Amino acid sequence: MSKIIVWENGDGTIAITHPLEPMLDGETETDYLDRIAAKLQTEIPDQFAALEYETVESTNMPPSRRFRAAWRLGENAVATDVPLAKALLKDAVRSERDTRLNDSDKEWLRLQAVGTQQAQDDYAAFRQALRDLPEDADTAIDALTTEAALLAYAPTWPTEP
Amino acid sequence: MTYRPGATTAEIVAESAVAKPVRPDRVRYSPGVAKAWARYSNSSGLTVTNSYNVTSVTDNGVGVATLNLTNPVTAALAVATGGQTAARSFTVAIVSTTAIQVTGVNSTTGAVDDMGTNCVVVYGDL
Repeated sequence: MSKIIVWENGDGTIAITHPLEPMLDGETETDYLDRIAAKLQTEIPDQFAALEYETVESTNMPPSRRFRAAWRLGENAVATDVPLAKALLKDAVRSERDTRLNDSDKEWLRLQAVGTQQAQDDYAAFRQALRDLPEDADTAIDALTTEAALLAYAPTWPTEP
Repeated sequence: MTYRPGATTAEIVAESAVAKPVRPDRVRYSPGVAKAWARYSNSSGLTVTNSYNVTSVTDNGVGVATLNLTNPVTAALAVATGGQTAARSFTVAIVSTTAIQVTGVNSTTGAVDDMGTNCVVVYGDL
């Protein structure tokens, strides 16, 4: 089967149904997909009954699932909404920064107790660089214009002393 | 050749009448046999490697998929389980007689998250 069923939720997000069972004898692809969609609308009404759907070639999909929450229904395609993907990427950078900052707490406290002044200064600079990174990353991400560029983006994390 | 009547569906479900043969297309009624299963992965879209008694799989978004069964199971008596390859918690919920919802949760962050390869198996009565 070369087509998938794309449901547009009220908030613009999409659900994508991949049909599995074989087509009936003499059934056209359109009839087949409508039958699969009708089955879902009947059997899972809370999710599907009120939704419109379109069918899309299964190859017309974003290259990566990384920005799945930013997928939207396009012209015979599932496409990534680049501004939404940018927001997701910024959130991911902040989340990773928070993890790295939290992971550095233990060493920071240890240096406060037993480290030299130089070691404390170096480590403070490292932690400040972590704090500053999201702002620089936001600027870099805002300059990107394509999904491919967003997928390729990776911040340069400061090196722990 | 002596004709031997096969076990009825009720006899198969009850695992009684053990001397009777069971037709291959009726083995599925045995309580010890999986009533539906699927193996799929979250790549770009969603790739289903193999399945049984599953009409479709719906990718609902990050970490959540719904299996729509071809033949319904008795939801109150069904058991659904599964596993996956990523470092995620994995829950399988029976939404209705024909809908099984699979959700992955990142074990570190607690957020709903995509999984790697997912395997879901449903037992119960057809």
